[in-house]
Amino acid sequence: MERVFKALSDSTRRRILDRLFDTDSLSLGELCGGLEMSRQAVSKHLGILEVAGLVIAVRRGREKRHFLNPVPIQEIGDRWIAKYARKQTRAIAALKGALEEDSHEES
Amino acid sequence: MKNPEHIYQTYIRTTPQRLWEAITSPEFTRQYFHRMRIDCDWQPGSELKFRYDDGRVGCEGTLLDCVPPRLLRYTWRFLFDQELARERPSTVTFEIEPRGENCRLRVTHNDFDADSKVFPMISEGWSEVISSLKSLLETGAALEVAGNAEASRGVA
Repeated sequence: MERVFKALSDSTRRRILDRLFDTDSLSLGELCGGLEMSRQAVSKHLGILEVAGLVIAVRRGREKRHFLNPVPIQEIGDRWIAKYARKQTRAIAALKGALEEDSHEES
Repeated sequence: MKNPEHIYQTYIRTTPQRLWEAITSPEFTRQYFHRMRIDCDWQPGSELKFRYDDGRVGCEGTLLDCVPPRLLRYTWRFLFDQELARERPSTVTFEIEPRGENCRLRVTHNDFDADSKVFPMISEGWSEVISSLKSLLETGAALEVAGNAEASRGVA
């Protein structure tokens, strides 16, 4: 789980996961298209995501395609989120959401 | 346009035999797979059904490959909803690989049409099912997931 938290701690890696959530099965080239950084940098981030099990690279024909594996995030949710997200915390989060939405509408 | 496909993977502290038993035994699947029992004679080409306790069938398919304790592949049709049940069957593949004291379980769900309505619905379901299966094998207790209750109410 340490590796998953580490992988999730970087905003570029979270963006890569969001891209794969929207469109699964992207090649390295396709992933680079949406990120302003070198192919090597994206490849390095993908490596960290793969080691954490959040991304699975599978050969499809001549290309390597990347898939989001949501299971480690589910496991974090089961272990670290469900336990603490009780009714009271949900109510506070909902209140925060509602208040921030109000102030957003006013501005 | 690429045909949609999902891949799920986890490592479970168990043996390939026990993991195989968990994905093929009706008493096991009932504990983590939306309270449904898997029912099949395990001959490739045979029908495969997932049944609730009251006999209703929640999903069904045809067994394609059965290589214990490594590979299980079947077609899969979603029966929870009449419109969705009209889609052609997709394919589910379970691959088990021993890795030291753990097993790597990879589940691939593919062979959907590009405009499949079932595809976007299944992602969260599989994550919960696999996470619950891992918990069952490692701790002896499946997770009480929301999907279990919803699916048992929502069957068509």
